[in-house]
Amino acid sequence: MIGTAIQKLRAAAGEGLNEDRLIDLVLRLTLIYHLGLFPSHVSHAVFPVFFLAAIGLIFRPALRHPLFWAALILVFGFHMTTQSVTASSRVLNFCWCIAIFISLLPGCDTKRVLVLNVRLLIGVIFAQAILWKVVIKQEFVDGSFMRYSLLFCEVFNDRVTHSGLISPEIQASNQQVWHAIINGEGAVQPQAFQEPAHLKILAWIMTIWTLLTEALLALAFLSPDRWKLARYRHPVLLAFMSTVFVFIPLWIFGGIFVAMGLIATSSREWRIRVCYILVYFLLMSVTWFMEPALAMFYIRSYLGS
Amino acid sequence: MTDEATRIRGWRRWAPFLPLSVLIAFGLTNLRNVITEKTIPWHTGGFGMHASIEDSPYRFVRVYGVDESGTRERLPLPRPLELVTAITIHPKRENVREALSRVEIDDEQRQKFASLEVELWEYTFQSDPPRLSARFVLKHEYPNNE
Repeated sequence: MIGTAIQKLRAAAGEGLNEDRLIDLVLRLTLIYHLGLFPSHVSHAVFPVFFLAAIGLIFRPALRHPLFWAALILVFGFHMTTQSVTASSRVLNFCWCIAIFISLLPGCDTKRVLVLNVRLLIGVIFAQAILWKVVIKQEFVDGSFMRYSLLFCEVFNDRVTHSGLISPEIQASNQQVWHAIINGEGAVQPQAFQEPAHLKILAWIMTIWTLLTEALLALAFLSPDRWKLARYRHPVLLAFMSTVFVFIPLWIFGGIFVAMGLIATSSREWRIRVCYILVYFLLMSVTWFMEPALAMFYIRSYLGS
Repeated sequence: MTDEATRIRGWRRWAPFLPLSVLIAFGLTNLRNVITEKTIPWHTGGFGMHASIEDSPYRFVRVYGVDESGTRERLPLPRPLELVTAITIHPKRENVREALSRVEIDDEQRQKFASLEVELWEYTFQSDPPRLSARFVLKHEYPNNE
C-alpha cells in the first residue's frame, strides 16, 4: 500500500508535473505569496495586489500573460517609490516578478529564463546577506545578534520560556530593564541583563548554522552547473527553509523560495519537488497554527486595524 | 537574417539579466544609504536585516535649541511622532528639516534660538556583560531662520 502511494506520488510529482504544469504551479505559488505580502502600513497597495492575484489564480490566460505581470510590477514600483522604506522581501519579489514577466515574453524560453534567475537572485541575495553579517556588521559573527534575539526578539520570547531555556522570572526582569532603557532614550544607566549559559550556547549554534547555510546557498547557487557544489542547491535551500524559517516563521519569504526552488527542478527530481511542497505547508502550518499571534497580526493588518 | 530577428536575439540575450541588475542596484543603494546617510540596514532592500539589532525602536532622537552663546536647551520632540520615526529609519536632511519645522515650541521661544539641532542615537548590544548601551550616530544642525 505504501509502495503504491509512493508510485502515485512519484508519477504526480515527476512526469505528471510536466514543464507546462510546473510553470503554472510556480506562478500560482508566487501569487499566493502575494496575498500575504502586504501587511500593516501599505494598505493602499493591498487592493490592487489582491485583485490582480485573484485574477491570476483564477484565469490561466492571465497567469501566463506578460501584461498581467507587468501590471503587478507597476503596483510594486508604485509601492516602492511611495514608501519611505522597502523591505528586502519586497525587493526580491519585485525582481522575481520582472523575471517572470521577461520569461513570458514572446520568443523567450520561460523555464530557462526562470531557472537562470533563480540561480542568480538566490545566489546574490545570500551573498549580500553574508556580506552584511561577516564583513559590514560584526554583531552577527560574534554571536551578539542571536544572543540578543533569544533574549528579546518577540519571535523567540515564548519559545525560550516554554522550552525552559529561561525562567519566566528572569525574562520578566530582563524585559523590565529593557523597557526602562528603551523608554529612557539614553537617560537611564544601562544595567546588565541576565543570560543563562545554555541560551548563550544555543545562540552560538544558531549563529554558526545561519552563517553556514547562507554561505553554502550563495556558493551553490552562484557556482557553474558543472561544479559539484551545484548539486547541493536544493538540499541546502530546503535545509535552510526547514530550519531557519521554522524558527523564524516567515512563510511569505519561504513561499517565494519554494516557488523559485521548484522551477529549478527536473521531472527526475520528484523527491525534491515533494520536499518543497512539504516545506511550503510546514511553513504555513507553523505560521498559522503554531504562531496564532503572528497569524492574528496578518489578519489585523489586512483589516487595517 | 532580418533586422527584426537580429534585434530580438540581442534583446533576448540581455533581458534575462535585468532582474539581477535591479537587485544589485537596490543592494548598492542600500549600502550607500547605510554608510553615508546612516539608514537602518533592515530597510531599502540590501538584505542587511538580521545582521545587527539596528531597527527603528533601537534608535532615538534628541532635539535641541541653541542660542547665540552656544547654550543648548532640550526641546520636545516634533509631532506627530511618525516624523521622529522617519528620522530614525532614514535620517536624511529632508526628514530632519520636516521634523524641525514641527517642533512644538511657540514663536517667542523659537526666536531666542540661533539654530536647531537634531541628534540621532542608537542602542547597541554589548556582549560582556550583556547590556544595551547608547551610541551617538549623527547630528544635523540648521540655522533657525531656515
